[in-house]
Amino acid sequence: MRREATFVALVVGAALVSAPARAQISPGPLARAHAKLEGSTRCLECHDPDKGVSPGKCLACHKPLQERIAAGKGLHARPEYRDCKTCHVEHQGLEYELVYWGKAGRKAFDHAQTGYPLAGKHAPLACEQCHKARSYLGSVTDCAACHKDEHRGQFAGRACSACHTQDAWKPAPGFDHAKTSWPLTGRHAPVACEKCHAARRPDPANAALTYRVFRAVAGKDCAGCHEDTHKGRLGSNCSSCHSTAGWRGAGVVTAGFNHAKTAYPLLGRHASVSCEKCHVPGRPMRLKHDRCTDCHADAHAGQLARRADGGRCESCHDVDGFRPARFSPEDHAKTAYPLLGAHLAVACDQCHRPAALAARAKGSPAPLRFASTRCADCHQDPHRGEVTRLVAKSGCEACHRVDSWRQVTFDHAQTKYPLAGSHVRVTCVACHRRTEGAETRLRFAGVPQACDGCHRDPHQGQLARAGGVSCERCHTTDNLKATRFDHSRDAAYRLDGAHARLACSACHRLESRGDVRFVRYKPLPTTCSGCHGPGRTPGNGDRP
Amino acid sequence: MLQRVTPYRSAQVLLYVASFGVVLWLFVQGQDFYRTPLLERAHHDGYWLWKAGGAYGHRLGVVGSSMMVLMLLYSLRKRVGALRRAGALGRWLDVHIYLGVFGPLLVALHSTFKVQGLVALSFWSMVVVAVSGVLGRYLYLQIPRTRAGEELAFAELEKQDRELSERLRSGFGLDDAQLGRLDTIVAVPSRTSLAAGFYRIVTDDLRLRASLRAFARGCRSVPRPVFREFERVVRQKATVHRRILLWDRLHELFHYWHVLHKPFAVVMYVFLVVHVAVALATGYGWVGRS
Repeated sequence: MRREATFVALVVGAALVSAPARAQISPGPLARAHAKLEGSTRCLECHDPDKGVSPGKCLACHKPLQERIAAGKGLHARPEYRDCKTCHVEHQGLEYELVYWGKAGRKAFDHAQTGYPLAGKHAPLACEQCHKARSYLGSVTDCAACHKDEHRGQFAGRACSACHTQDAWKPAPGFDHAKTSWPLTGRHAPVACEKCHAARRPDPANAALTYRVFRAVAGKDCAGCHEDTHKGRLGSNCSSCHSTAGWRGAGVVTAGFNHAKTAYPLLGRHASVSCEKCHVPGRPMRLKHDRCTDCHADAHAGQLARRADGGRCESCHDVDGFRPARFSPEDHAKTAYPLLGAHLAVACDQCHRPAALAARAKGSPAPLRFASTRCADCHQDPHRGEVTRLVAKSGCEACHRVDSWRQVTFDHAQTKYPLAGSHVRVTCVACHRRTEGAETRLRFAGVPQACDGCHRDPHQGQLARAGGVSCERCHTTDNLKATRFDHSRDAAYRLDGAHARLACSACHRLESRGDVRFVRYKPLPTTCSGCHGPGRTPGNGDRP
Repeated sequence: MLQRVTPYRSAQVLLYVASFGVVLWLFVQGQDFYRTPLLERAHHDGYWLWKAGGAYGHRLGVVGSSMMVLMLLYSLRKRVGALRRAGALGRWLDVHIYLGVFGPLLVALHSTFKVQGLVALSFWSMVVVAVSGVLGRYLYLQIPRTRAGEELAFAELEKQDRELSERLRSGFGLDDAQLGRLDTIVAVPSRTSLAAGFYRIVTDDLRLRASLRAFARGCRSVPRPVFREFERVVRQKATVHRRILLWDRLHELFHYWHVLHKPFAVVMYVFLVVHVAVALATGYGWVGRS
C-alpha cells in the first residue's frame, strides 16, 4: 500500500504543483487576443460560477462595444448577437480566429445587420478598405472617415447622403436644385452641372488640387452664363422678354416686352402678329421697317410704281388691315376712269379681280391698270351680238348709261322702223321681247315690221287680200279707230240715204266663232232683201 | 469453471449489447463532430451539442463520471465490514465491471477525443484503469472460484482434476497416454518473465479451444452419440489442469495487477474531482450550461 500511495502522490503532485501543468487546467489555450488572460488562476475573469461565460464579463473589458450595445447601435445590439461566446468561441488554441464569420466566410457577411447596409460601390469593397483599425467598430459610417470632402465645406452641416448615394459620386440624385435659391426651370433643368458650375478654386490644403464651386455661382443674372446677343441695346433685364423655357419661341415673354420702346411701335394689326412672323428665327433681330415691302410682298406687283408717290402702300393702306384700302371714289375720279353712276356702288374687286384675267395665274395680283376701259372689257354683251354694228359705231352708250342698265336712251328713228303714234309710248319690251323655248329675252335683230308681226287680226281675216292684211288702209299708228276708212270709197256697198245715218253696228253685228267674238264686215248682203223683209229682225241680218 | 447460460447471464449479455448499442449510436451521432479538426470544431453545427460542455457532451460527462464514482461501491463492499453481507461479491464485481466499461466510454465521448491539459491525466488514468480492469477480469476468470466468488483451495482444484481424469478414463475409455497428451496441451513454460508469462497465458488460452477440438477428434474410441459430452468434459479437464499449472503464476500476476489498477484509479478520481470542481467553478453547473 505504501508503494501505491507513493505513486499516487508523485503523479498528483507532478500534475498540480508544476507551473506548466497547472496552466493546463484550462481546456485549451486562449486565442492570441486573450492571451493575457491565460492562467489557471484567471478563469474567473471571464467565467462566472453562476452564469458561465456571460456577456457582462466580456463587456467589462470591451467598453466601446458595451456603449454601442447600450445605444442600440451595430450588429452586437441585435438580440441574436448579444451572447458573445456564440460567435467568439474560446479555448480553441492560440491561432484560433476569434471572429467567426460563418461558413461562407467574411465576404458573405450581411453588413446590413450592422445597421449600415453596403450598397452600390461600397458592396464590393474589402473590409479593410473601411475598417482600417484592428477593431471593426468605429465611426466608419461617417463618409468623411474614408472620403475627402470634395466640396471643401461648401455644404457643411449637410450629410453627404442627402445628395449622394453609395452607387456613385455622380449623379447626386438626392440633390434638388429646386430647394436652392436658384431653382432650375425650363431649359436650365437638363443642363449639366458643370455648364454653370464651371468655376474651380484651388484647394487650400493642397495647391495641386482644385474643387468645384457650387455656392455663390458667379452671377445669377443671365449675362453670367449667356452672351447678350442684343449687345446691350435692350438693357440688362433679359427676363423681361425671355424665360428659361427658351431663348426663342415659347421662351419669349412677349408680355414683358414693350415694342413701343423700339423704333417701330406695333400698331393696328401688327400688334397681334407673333414675333417670329417678323423676327424670323435665325435671322437678325433688327429689321428694316422703312417701307411696308420690307416685310410685305407688293400685292400689286409693282403696278403702282409709276404713281407720283412711287406706289407707297400707306397712300392707300394702313396697319389696320390691307382691306379696305383707303382709295375713295374721289381718288378714283382722279384716275383715267372716274367711277360714275352705278359704278360707284361696285366693289373694287368686281373690276380689279385676278379672276377677271383669265390668262393670269391664281394668286396673281389684282389688276389695277387696264389697257382699255370699254364696257365689254367688264360686261358681257346681253344682246348676243344683235347690236354689234350699233355698239361699234356708238358704243354701249348709244343706248345705256352708267347710271343704270335699264335706263335706256335710244333714238328709234335711227332704225328702219321709226316709232310713230301710239308706238312711241309703247315700252321696248312690248315689241322686242321674244320667247324662244324656255328663254325670254330681248331681241333686236329680225323684229317684224308688219302690223301682224305684233298685232292680232281682230277681223278674223274678213278684210285680208292677196299679199296679206293691209291694216294701214283703214288704221293709223295714232289709234286703232279706222280713221282712214270711207264706206263710200273703200266698201263695195255705198251708204247713202237712211243708211248713212245708221250706226255701223246696225249692219255690222257681233258674231261669235267658238270663243272668239268679232264684228261681221263681210260678206254681207248688198240687196235690200238681204236686210229688209218679213221675218228679218235687226241684228239677225234682216232689216225691216 | 465454465459459466452456464442462466437468466442472469442472459440479462447481463442483453444489458451489454443494449449499452454498447447506445454508446455506438451516440458515437455515430457525434462522429462528424469528433472527426472535425480541433480548430474547426467551434464552427461545426454540432459544436454546442457535442462539445465537452455542450448540451449532450456535458451530460455524457456527468453520467460517465457518475458511473465511475459508483464503481467505488465495489471497493467499499470489499473493504467495509458492514457491507460484507450485502450481496455476493461476484454480482458487485459485475456491476463494477459494467460501470467500468461504459463509464469510461461515455467519458471518452464527453472528452470528444480532445485530450489535453489536466484532464488528459485523468483521461489516460481512466484508460489505464479501464484496460487494466479488462485484464484483471481475465485474470480473475482464470482463478477458480465458488459460486459466491470465493477462491477455491488448491486441493479442491486437484480433486476436481482427478475426478475429471477418472471420468474420461472410465466414461469415454481414454488411456493414460491420451490423458498425458491432454495435459501437455495445456502445459505452460515453467520459468518466464512476468510479462512473457502473461502473454503466453493469453495466447495459449486463445489457441486452446482449437487444440482441444483436435485432441477430441483424435480419440476415435469415443462413441459418436456422446462425443459432444466428451468434448465438454475434455475442455473442463483441460481448464482445471491448466489452472493447477498456472496457480502460482496467476496469483503473482493478480498481485501486480492490483498494483497497476488501484493507483491509476486513485489518480483518475483525484483528477476527476479537480475537473468537476473547475467545471463548477467556471459555471458549467451540474446539468450543463453551454
